[in-house]
Amino acid sequence: MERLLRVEKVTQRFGGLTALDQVQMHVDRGEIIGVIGPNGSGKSTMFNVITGMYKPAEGKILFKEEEITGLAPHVIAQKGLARTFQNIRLFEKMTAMDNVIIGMHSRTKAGLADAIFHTPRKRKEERESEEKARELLKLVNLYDVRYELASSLSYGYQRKLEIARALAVSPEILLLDEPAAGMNEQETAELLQIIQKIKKLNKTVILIDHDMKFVMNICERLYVLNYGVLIAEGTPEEISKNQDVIDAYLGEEDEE
Amino acid sequence: MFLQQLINGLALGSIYALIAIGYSLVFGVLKLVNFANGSIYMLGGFLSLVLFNKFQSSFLLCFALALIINGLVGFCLDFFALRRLRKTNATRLVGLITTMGFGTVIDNFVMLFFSNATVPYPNIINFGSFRIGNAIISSTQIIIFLSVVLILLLMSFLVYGTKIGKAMRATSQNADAARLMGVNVNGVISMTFILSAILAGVSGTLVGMYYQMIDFTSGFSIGMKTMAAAVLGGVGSLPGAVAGGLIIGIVESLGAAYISSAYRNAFAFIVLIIVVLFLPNGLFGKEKISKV
Amino acid sequence: MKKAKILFAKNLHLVTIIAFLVLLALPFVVKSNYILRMMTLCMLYVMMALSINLLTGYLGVMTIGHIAFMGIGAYATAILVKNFHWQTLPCYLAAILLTGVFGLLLALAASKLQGYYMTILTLGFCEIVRLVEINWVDLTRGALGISGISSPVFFGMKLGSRRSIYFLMLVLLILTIFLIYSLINSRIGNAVIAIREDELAARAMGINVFKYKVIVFVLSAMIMGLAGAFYAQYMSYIDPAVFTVSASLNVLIMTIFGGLGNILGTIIGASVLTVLPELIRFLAEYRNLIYGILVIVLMLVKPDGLLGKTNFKYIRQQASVKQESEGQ
Repeated sequence: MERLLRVEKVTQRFGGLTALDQVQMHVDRGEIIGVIGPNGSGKSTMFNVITGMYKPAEGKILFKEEEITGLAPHVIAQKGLARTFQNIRLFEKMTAMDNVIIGMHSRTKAGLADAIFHTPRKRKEERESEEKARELLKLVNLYDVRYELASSLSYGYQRKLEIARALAVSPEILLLDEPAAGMNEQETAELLQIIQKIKKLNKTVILIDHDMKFVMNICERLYVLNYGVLIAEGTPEEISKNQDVIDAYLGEEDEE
Repeated sequence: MFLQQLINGLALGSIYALIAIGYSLVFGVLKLVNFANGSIYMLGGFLSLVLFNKFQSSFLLCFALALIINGLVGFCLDFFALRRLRKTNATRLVGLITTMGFGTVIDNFVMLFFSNATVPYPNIINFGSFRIGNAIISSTQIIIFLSVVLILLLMSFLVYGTKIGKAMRATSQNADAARLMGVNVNGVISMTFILSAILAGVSGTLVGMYYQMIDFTSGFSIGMKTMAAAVLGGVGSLPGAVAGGLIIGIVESLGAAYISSAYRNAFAFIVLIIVVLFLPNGLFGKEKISKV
Repeated sequence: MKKAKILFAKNLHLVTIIAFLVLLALPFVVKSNYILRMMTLCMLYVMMALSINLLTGYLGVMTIGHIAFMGIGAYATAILVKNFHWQTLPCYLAAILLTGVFGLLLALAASKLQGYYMTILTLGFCEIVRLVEINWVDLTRGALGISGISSPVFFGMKLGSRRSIYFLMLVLLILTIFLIYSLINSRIGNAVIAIREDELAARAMGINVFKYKVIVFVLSAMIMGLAGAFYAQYMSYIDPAVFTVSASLNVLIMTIFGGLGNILGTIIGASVLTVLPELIRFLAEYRNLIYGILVIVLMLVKPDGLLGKTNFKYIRQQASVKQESEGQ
């Protein structure tokens, strides 16, 4: 199996706080990987480091054995890593359709001259983009609301739209940051199906979530972070029996 | 010569600092640049003068009255316009344009009802001048230094030592959290506008006495320069505003003396652009960690 | 109202063509020089407002010193015409090129900055440019300004009459509208709007934010520079007092009044606010006071401007979906 992503001894600090401490991870093609951990354990920071939002203090990130540490986010996206955001960040004043079309930005080519002279190439490309956007919206069951503004969609719909938008980047790895957050049971079940469908499209998925049941259901392998330290990795069964993990989660519940 | 320019620059700069604080205070609580601040500054200068001319009595009394009216104007800007915008969750751009409109109204009000030309400003408190080496400090400059130091002390006490100051700082850090903790956020914002208008009024009067003239367009250029000062120091930071004001005052005086007096007003912006390019958050501004 | 909007959105092309024909026929119907002059001025302001709309409305960078580019274009043209007797077309090219370079420099500086810092940077830029115009007396004749700039000459043909100047402006305006419309309704336009909506998310979608910021800054500066080049020969006199921050703010207010990020809104907003001061001329010195009050009231009542929340493409699309579902 092809090793798609390697995270090697990544450390990220904010002032005095060490958000990630020498974290090691790897992802193979076709896997669905879960990253779990209590609040503030560094899960989202992990995503931000991988996608180039933060530049880590130490360590390396390799995508297909090529180092991508510290590259600009848009370059990393072009290379084939796309993400969603924990606190939804859609382009609110645009329709669902246009949100998805923007996801295709790095896969399309029309330039300034094409725009001004309305070249056939541009029109062809636009037709293709729209066609692909329709497919993606159908995949996440949002086709009926394709011309609604992103801001007018319900919370669960917005989460699904973020997934469609990220898929539009044609990524090899899809990073989902708490995709099930704020969803009801029915929506979560639907999300589960969507992720299965995405796997069938030959994509690799890394996802963060709080919902243990959801993660256990879908992920093939899990990484557990606590206070920025990787405390466990393994299959869902292994993790559910791991004493460190149980302690970390129980500890959090004590605090709450 | 150098010492003289330095003294002049410090005098000018300390007044800029006062106005710049007004920008920073408002920016702190509202994240809004108050474009009317320059006009409010000019209005304060005019009010002191007009009241003094009318009553011909104690200048200090007229001055105090002018400050009260100025504070009220600041309050009105917030109460009648900006507060309504906050309720409708309008974008910041809208707030900005509103303050510009307010500035236009003030400028034209002064032009119509006070004077549409440059008016001489009496140097009311004059107790001669003093020599330090071969430099001269005028009595107005001494008054400026004294009052600015006094006001800065008062301001730091107010912001860092009183309950209302604490509420202000809390609001500027996180307005929603402050509201949940029982801070009257609207009250704090009103208070901030009143304060910054009073500071602008003091500055307007001091500058009037310093240059011994005033006109209704003077608010605009000083407004822009002090805005540059606030940004230079790092918007929202009070020590930053003071430092920014002083730097711009000094650079302006020295630049006018040694480089070119014609470009006097450009130095503020040249310094601003250079500083901001190297320190994108200004001198004292904190770098924000963008939460994703 | 909603139905009217849908009807309008569906027939936008038709409306555009009719408007164009009306503007084309107008000088042959209207004989009044005053009205022709007013119309030309309107179109000039629309062009300026469109330039600001491109930067502020679509990219989301608030500029309060954009008119500096107009000044640069105007001075370049005035000097080339007066001192070097250039024809108009090369002047226009020079103005576009020069403002493009300045736009690029400003974009490079601005690319490091966020929000207000960028706005203040445009302010500083405008003040510095104006002070250079005032003080570089050898080149610009300082505060006196440059007078006696001759009328536009194209391929040896002099455009002297009010009517021919009107048509020249119309051509420039149509070029501007076409350019902005094409740009915005393209892949690049999508990227630009995405940056306005959420810069970080745009980056995550593979959009090179820096590149598009530079493109928009440069194009917007060029449009303003071209407007300035026209202005110099249209007025035959320019001085630094025209290119101030307050003048720039005025154009910004026109743009906001019409509705940011909407071409038609900008056209209406700039036209109305160019004509309005003429209409309230009887208020004499109270004019600006009333204007200020109107601005505040406008912001309180309609903060998004006339068409700021309207997107004709979306209205069309939504209407078509509705029709489909009703048809089934």
